[in-house]
Amino acid sequence: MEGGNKIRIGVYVCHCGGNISDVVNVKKVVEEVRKEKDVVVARDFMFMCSEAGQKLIEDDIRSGKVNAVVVASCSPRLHEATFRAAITRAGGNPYMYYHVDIREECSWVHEDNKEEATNKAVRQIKAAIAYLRHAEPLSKIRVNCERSVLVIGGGIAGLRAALDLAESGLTVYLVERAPFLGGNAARIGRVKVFPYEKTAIDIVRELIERLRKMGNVAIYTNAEVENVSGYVGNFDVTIRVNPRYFRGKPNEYEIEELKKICPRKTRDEFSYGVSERTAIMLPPFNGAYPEIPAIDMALCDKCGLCTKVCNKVDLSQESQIIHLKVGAIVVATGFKPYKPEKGEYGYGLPGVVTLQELVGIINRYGDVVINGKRPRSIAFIYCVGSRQRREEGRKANEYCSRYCCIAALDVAVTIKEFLKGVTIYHVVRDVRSYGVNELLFEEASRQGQIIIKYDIDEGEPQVTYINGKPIVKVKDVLTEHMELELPVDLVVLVTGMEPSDGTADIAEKLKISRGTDGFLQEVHPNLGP
Amino acid sequence: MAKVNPKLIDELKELGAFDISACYSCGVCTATCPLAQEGHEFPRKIIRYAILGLEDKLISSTEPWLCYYCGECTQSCPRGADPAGFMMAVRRYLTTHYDFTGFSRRFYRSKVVELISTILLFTVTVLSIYLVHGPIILTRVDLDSFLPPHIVELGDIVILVVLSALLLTNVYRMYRLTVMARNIPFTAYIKEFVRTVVPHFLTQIRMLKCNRNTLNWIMHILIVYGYATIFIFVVVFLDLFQTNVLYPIYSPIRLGGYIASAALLIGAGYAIYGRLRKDTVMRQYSHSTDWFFLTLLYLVVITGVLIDAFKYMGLPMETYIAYTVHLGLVTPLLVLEVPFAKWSHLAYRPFAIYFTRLNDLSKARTVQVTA
Repeated sequence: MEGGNKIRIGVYVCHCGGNISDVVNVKKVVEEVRKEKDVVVARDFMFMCSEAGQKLIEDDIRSGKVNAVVVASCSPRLHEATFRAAITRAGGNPYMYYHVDIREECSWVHEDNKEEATNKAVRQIKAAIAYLRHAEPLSKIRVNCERSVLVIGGGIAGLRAALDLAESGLTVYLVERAPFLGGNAARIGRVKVFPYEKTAIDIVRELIERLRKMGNVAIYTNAEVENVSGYVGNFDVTIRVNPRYFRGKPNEYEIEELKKICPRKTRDEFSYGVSERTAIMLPPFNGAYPEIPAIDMALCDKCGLCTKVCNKVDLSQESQIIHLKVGAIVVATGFKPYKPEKGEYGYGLPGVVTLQELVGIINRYGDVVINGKRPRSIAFIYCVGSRQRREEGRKANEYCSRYCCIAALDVAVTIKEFLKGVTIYHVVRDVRSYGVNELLFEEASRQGQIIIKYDIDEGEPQVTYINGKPIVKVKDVLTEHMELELPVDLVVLVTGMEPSDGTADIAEKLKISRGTDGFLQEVHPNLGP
Repeated sequence: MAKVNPKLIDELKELGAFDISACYSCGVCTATCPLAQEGHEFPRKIIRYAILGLEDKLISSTEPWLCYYCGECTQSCPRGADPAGFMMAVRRYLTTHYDFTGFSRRFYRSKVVELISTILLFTVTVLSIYLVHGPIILTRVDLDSFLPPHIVELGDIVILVVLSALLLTNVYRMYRLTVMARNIPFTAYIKEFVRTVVPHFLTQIRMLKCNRNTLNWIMHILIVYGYATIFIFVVVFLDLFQTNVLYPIYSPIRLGGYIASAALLIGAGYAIYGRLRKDTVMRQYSHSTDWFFLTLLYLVVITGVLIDAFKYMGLPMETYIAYTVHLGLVTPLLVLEVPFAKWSHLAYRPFAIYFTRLNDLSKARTVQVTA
């Protein structure tokens, strides 16, 4: 600290309602750090982030007692901004501040050794005090900011974000890894999305249409973010746009020929593997963007048959590198559905499909047809790939995906509309159809759909296959824990979400944090979820 | 391992359980039920059996008969699933299952079948009277000549024996379906019979445990004892009841008949009025079989009163016609309702209490043995 303005440090230690004080001896910490040179005030409080807690700090600054602050509480991710704001309000310099994390980095991880945890907290705070002795009051500077935004991911979230940003006048660059926009929402296709009277595909189509009409949007499909550098307001971004191997849009005749010509086949990811596609990926739905096909080079063996039926095919195209300058980046990399292992709840048996595969079937055939017949009874098994228990040698998704219950109810209600007389069982652990989605549960219930609840401690539902039918065995908590046997025509595994394949890579490039579940982390679990 | 029958719920819906799919198993119905007790957590448990299609479990349950339809559950149900109406539908369902002849199922499924059967029995009775009646004396009322009491007595006995046999067979089937007890001594069977069936048959006292059921109970007692009185007159004292003798008003037979008729008219009238007004939960929905029973009962009482009135007014032809119609109506009332339809509850309700008690005893003994 410059000149005669001597540093006067205030240390504020938080109990976090026991989260910290049950392990760390907060009183002792306060006594220890008070002895430090330059420390003029050392206090503890039950919840430092509360209004009363913040007021302690503000009062000490206003009275001139303190001109530098250390708060020892939770992670700075949660409340650094809170305390900086408090200091600013009191007329102090918000950068004469150090936030010490003695909860996540101390009390939570050292429950087994309270004494050492207390010592560690003291050392952490002493380090912060030392930092502040060398700190200089900073002031905010203004820098120029690019009035453009990069949106990563062309699914429903990316499309919506891009449209809103473009409509507010910013230049938007939308980057999508897949050859076509739409993401998971487009694949839900003709299933109506609750509670709107629109199908998922209608919503996606409308967003794409509106986005294409905007003059300030550049869309890159089949493209990936290569590199990001720079800082807030001024990012330098490199994108690689992979070739589509097509020069322009083929005419209708050529499209028909292209559909037949390619000998390389694989399961079509757009229909969740329900149907096949070739190496020539055609626009998967009406209104898809771009309208130009793309060749899947991982599958293509360059036999050249397609070049004979369509002169717009150009197998010599190479990828392009594009440099962009943007002020902000929106990451909307989305999710991929959990893929059950073979044998998990009977997955792999005939008549056992995932929810996504069922959606694929509905979209492909406009009906539910299993082994050539319309099912008369269906059992949905919930929490497949969500809320998993930790087991040796297996990665467990311990989180609730928070969408699968609703998705399953939505599909079940849709099915009930065209499969009259079908009996639907929902084999659930809990139904989390929160908020307005309660109406969906209500609708399913009114339709006579049956809820069976299992307790994971009594074992998971078992799926076997006897006499050409899948049979679900489950102990029903709601009926005296009775073991029930449901012979059904179709078992649907209600699979949860996992982070999409590109998430880890993008997080690495952008240096943004991910939770233990692999998803990108929110700003604040309570204040900015 | 319990197997499910998804069609079960549709069958119950036909019998009056219209809204039950809305149930989400919260258990408020059982919590508010004044009669539910540990081990017999109805209506919730029974609803669950029905929704899941656990047919065997449902058929082996006695709990539906332990419910006396006060409607408390329906008023508390947060989903408007009408558990009370559901329990009534299950009683109808069980009635069809206890009956081995299959008639019951037909009556409950189709009011046309019930109507045709009623008309048929009426016609057969009237035709039989036409064939066997004695001389029609028009100078004075002479019922004994028109239809000698020994013929009516014979008819009484035949119907009594046949119907009792049918009803008891049904009760035996109910026993086979519901009673799991195999380990209690014979004396317990006798003791429990005396302690359950007898008092409940005579008093229906369980009804009073329901909230707001007191008036219903009084009306029910009026019907039961009104009918029982006439029944005894007809079966035991027919010689005194059907007679040409003109009794003074205070004679026990004449006065007893009047009081019994009045009780029946009030009791059945109250039931009909309530069902028309739909003033309580219990009377919101009336199945066709409910109406058949009440209508037949009411018409039988009215024609019975008319016989008496015409006799004392000295109108011979009118008396004979009223008597013929009366008997024509009595036959379907007894033949259809007692073993196959609504009236069978006179046996099922007390026996359900008995069978439940047997099962409880058996369970307690099993627990003792294993402990």
